[in-house]
Amino acid sequence: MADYSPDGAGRAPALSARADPFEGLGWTPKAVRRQKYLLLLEDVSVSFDGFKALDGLDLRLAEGEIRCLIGPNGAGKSTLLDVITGQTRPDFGEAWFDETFNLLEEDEVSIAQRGIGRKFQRPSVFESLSVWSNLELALQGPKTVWRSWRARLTGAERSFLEEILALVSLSDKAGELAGALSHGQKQWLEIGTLLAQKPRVLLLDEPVAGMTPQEIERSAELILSLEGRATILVVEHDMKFVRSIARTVTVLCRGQALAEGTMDQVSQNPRVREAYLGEAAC
Amino acid sequence: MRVWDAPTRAFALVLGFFASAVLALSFLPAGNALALGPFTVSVLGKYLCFALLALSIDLAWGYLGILSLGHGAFFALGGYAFGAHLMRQIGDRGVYGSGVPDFMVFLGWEEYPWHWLGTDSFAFSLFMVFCAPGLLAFVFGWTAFRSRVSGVYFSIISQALTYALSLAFFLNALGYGGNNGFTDFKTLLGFDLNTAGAGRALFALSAAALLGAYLVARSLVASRLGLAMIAVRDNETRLRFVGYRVERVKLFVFTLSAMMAGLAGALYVPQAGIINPNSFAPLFSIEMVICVALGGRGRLYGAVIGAFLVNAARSGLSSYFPNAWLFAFGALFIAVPVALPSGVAGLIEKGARRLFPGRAASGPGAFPEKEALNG
Repeated sequence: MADYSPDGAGRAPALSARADPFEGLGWTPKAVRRQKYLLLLEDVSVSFDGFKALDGLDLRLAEGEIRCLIGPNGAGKSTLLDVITGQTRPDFGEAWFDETFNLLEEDEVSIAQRGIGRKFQRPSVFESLSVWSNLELALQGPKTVWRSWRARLTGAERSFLEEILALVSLSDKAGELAGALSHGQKQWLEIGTLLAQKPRVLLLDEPVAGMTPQEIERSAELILSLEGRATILVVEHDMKFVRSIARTVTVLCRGQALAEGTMDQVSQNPRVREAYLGEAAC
Repeated sequence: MRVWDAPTRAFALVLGFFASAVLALSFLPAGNALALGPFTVSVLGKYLCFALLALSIDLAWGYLGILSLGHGAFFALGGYAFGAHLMRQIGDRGVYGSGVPDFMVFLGWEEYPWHWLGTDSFAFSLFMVFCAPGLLAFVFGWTAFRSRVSGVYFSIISQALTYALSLAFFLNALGYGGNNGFTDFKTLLGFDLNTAGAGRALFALSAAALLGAYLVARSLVASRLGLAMIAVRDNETRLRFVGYRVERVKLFVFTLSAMMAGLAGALYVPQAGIINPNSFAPLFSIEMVICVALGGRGRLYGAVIGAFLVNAARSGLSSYFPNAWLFAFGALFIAVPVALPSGVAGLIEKGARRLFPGRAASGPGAFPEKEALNG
């Protein structure tokens, strides 16, 4: 194999002198997007009875990014996820998914079908279904009444679900009722059901709350292993965990983005320190 | 085929054995101690209809978690739709020898009103047996589920629905026989209804309908849609985020369940020989819900067992102690949720687990025991 890396010894052979080798063949190049925002929120404001949960918030998530959202209680983190998943309609502002899908005009179901998966703060799996059935139910595919009545698992789907089970360390629990799992296992199962939907965006609301340090470490590995497959937005209070997974951290306070940067940058930021130490300051 | 699994085979076997035993015994000469007379056959046939109604309730309550206290309305609508055809069959053999049913003679009507149009056709009546309850369930469910009415509120509204219908059907002017309803049927498709042969045929049809409905219900609950139904019962908000249109799942299953109830009513009417507004009474619907609770909900066969037990107990008690039934029924109402939260079927499954440890697992629809009857 020739080495075509930019700094390697071998250089990619120059294409023919013609500017476009496919000219006239119906395959014209489009402008290269340096960065594509998968999730774009602009100037989003939500108020409940005069309390501004979100106040002109801007958020941009690039495709494939892992982003952590931190902030004191009441900063609007969960409200932000509610806006993205269609549970709460903002008073004004815009929210776009994949540049053309207007999140503010769609309901929870179409947003979920479009590829935005959400893990809730409280683990919510279907407790009277088995672990396997939880995954099968979530499996990506048509979810109309008729199609789900006729649906049968194909071999490929079966191995896909088995792969997910192994990923969330529940292979030996496939037949057990989800209600019988431990708290941490329920959290993982819920993440597993999200993966079964092959989402393009994963919204994880406090994924490691109530987990043991070993479980937290395992969760961090799991989330890092998804990098590139999905764009991930994590809301979490556990700073050690945030530090272990996040490339970029956004600090939310009183419904506004206070700071954005690496964990080190934001933890040096004086305004962030104020927000966390003296609540009134931000 | 996934439907034809072990529980289905066991159900078909037991039902088939029961039905053929009843039919065989009904052919014994009248003097024989084991012989079943036409009356007993029709009583058992009615039990099969109640079992079918209980099955339809279990589909909505046991799996979707929708407790309808008005399923009797769908049963009665199916019964009236078919009863109307049976009334048309009487022709001029009524007491007054007029071309219209006797109750229309009392009203001074000489012709059938517009809403009896088509009832002389068997095919159209059969269509209406499914269509009338199905349409009502669709409209009712559409409004209720879209405005996210659920839980106890849905139960109360469904009870109000059946009560309102019972009041309407008590009106003579509605043209459905007022408080006497439809009775005194003569023939169906040219066969005399008051013969032992017709009774056997109706009994066999009821058994076949019960088996058919069980197969349909089983294919639902064993599919991925069945998982979605249980998920609706567990946490319907969560199911929306998995990408299912919860309202459509509910509406589809509820409408299907109402159609099954309608079929049960249609088979009930010729065997009982009467349909009147009492079938719309809330008490009847509540009784059927108790049947499902006693049998064990979320299992399908549990509802069938419950329907047989409750109705056999009622027949037995009310013939020996006419006043005792309501007290016994009230006691059941209190005792079942406390003593038998997962019903008789739960007992059977517990016994089966003890006999064959590791083999008999309860189905995906089965309730975790301590949570039963909370939803």
